[in-house]
Amino acid sequence: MAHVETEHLTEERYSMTSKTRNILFAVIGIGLILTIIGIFQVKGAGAEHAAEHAALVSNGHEAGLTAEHHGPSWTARVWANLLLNSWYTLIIAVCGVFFIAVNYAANAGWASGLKRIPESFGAYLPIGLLFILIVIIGGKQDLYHWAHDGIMDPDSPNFDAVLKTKEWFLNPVFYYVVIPGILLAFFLFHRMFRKFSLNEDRIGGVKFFNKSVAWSGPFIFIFAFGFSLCAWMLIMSIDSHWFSTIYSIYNFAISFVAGLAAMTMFALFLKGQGYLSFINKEHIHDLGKFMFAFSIFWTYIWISQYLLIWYANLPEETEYFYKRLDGNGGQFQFQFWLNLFLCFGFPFLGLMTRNAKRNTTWLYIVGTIILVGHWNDVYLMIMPGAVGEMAGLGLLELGMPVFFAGLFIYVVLQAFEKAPTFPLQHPYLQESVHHDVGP
Amino acid sequence: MSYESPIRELLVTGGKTAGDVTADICRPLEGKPTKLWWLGFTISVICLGILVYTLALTSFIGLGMWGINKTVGWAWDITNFVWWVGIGHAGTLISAILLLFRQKWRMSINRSAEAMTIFAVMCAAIFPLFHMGRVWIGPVWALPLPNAFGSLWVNFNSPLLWDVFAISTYFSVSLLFWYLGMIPDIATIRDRASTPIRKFMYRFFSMGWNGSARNWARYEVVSLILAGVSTPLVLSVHTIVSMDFATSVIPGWHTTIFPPYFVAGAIFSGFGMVLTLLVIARKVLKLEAYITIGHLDAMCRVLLLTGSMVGLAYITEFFIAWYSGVEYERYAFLNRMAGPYWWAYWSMMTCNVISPQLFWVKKWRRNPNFIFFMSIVVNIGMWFERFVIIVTSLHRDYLPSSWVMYSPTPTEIGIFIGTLGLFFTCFFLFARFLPVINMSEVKSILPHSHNNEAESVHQPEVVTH
Repeated sequence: MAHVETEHLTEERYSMTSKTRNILFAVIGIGLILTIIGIFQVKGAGAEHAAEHAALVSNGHEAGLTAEHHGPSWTARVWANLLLNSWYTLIIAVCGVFFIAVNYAANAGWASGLKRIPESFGAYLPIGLLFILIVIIGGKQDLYHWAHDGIMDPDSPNFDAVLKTKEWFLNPVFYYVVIPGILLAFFLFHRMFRKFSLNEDRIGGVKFFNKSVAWSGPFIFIFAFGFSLCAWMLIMSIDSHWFSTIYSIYNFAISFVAGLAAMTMFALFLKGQGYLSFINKEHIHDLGKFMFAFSIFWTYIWISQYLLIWYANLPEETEYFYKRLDGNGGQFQFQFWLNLFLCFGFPFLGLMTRNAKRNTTWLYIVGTIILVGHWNDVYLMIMPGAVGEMAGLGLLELGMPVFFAGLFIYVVLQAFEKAPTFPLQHPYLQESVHHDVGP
Repeated sequence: MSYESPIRELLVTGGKTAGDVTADICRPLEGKPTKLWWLGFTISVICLGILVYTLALTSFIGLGMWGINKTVGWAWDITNFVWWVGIGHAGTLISAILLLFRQKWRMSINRSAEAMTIFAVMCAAIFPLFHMGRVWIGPVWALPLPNAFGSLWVNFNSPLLWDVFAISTYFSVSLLFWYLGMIPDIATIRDRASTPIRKFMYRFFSMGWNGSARNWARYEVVSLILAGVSTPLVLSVHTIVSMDFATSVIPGWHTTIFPPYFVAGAIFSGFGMVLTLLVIARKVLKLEAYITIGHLDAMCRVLLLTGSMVGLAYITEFFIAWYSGVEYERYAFLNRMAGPYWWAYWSMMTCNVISPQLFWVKKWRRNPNFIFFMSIVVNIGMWFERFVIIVTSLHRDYLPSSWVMYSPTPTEIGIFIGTLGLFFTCFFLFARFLPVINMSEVKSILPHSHNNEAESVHQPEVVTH
């Protein structure tokens, strides 16, 4: 093999153009306006729904039922949407930190030139944490059945003996202290990796690289356990009686594949703006392979959960899929099957060939489909349990993701501005520059 | 064209040339076998004899020779089956998945790991076959063949049948992958062979390989296709093995995390066995320059990772069993920890979860003696894992009057020792007659064929604005 010259690179900094900034502000603004209109629409529909119930009660139809009718109110739909978008953006952001740690731990060089993109994802973590805090404080009664008054109290008419057995986990200590604490720890890890990386830029040498490698293992370890607890508490406990051991891995699969799609699209965007000139089709190809592979991984986890629950057919487990397939006259059925197409069928067929993984426009399309698909995926995890028949797809469900997408992109690009676009002193940078996936 | 950072460890040390590679790797199979080889081989063949004897006992007298009973219908046999299948997984992981991840350190260990896969799957297959009782007819019934019983077909709904397909496909593809990858090396040995019988045998098995560009082009295409096929295979095989348990409604078996958890455990146990074999092989066959301390380090990291994944799965299972509030689930896990088989559970926890954490220490990841010891610990731990899952979930079923204990009979122990004999007999023969390292691939990663020699190292210059 011939001698490869190391490339001479100079520091490069990104600055957001006023056009980008204005578009993002517009997106955030439109998202916010749509969300507010959506909330009023939902409120109106909620009032109608309540009136219907009142009418039924006065007719004596639902008399017995309504005495303890705790059906979700319209506010549940608002809170559920806030949880959906907060959680989804948060797990994409934390994937950035995870991706960097995995690359250090695996001694991988090819992605080191792209590193500042996932690194910037971490800047969203405090905002994500803030939204989660708002949700868990404000939306507790609306979202979590186990948090209702009297559920854990044997003397109360609301007492639920099954949920009482979960009190050791579903309690304020875990809910208000441990979960936010874990999310805060993720952010602190991000700050540490970021600091190492910036110091490396400034001082050079392999000292900070070695430190990053040394801390990446512990981070992955803590991430695995902490992320599981968050997924169980924040999402799984919505369907309070139901449980599944693979659930945390399922959430991780969403986090990783959606995070990769987001990273790919940021890389394409920045390249389109004229930055990161050494990032070429080879890197994009590998990101495409990752999206392809982890879409299959997600499907593997999906089918593991579905098949095993379907096969054993135990009522306490099938309840979950029953709600999503046949519940409320098949309210979620279309979205349930669509989900498989968006998260598996489309990326699987769409990214199969080599050319597809090297085509910028096409990768934008597939990336968008993956991100929309997994938004729908998280929707299906949250809505049937938290909102049930009041759930729907209206302006609220359109506006809020638009708002969050705008906010996420803005925060990430702003963080990206604060450091050189690639880590000039990274010991594997030249490997990334000369990266070649082969024939 | 690829560039390699100067801070990366060399994959082949000792300044070897391409000629050295051929000489070093062919040496063990061209000279006379050493006394050590004869000793190991003899012990293995004796164990193989035990296998033949105990299987004959089982066949002639019947399954009553085993310790299984009405409550514990699966025990030692299926434990061994899953243990052996799991061991096989490291080979396919190394040859297929690490290939996709462009991990070049796989090149000097993939051949022996793949060989291990094949021998392990052979050992695994023995257990379900003989568990069928009438082994002369059972395998026929396990296949979806038209038969004289009218509409009597195999049960396509059963994961046990999926297993028949999964394992046989896995074995065929692994064998093909291993053999095809070896053809260029067999041709090298053929060209160096001095006796007529050697010449004939190696010529026969090298299938007319002449090293032409056309040969290589086809070789590479087939290798890529097989790698693509093997990657989903390695995941699917242990997924289906896990479904043998998880599709049931038995507490402790029926849990959705089983598929990925079994795959992680399989890779963990496979790397345990790879390390057991290679720590010795590199010493005895003098291959320290090819299977370097860096390779051992990398494999220990895989052990640490997969051991922790398995640990996460154990804790998740326990957590959810408790969270579920289902008393049967809770009891199944309490019974594992504190019931009559508590010692098996805690052996499993110690060997699989706690002890691999020692590999956080770099010094220990680079100490062959320590690694060898730990690899044995991992092998033991993963055996106990399957024993714990299978026996503790069964031995106390829904009807307390049928609660029993299980213990193996000498016949069962004999079969297990016998499969170890089969495995090591095959491995000794492999190390004697075939190249244990892929010569043609290792030649492509020799240090001088890269740009990372000391004199060509340039740190990138920094220009700041």
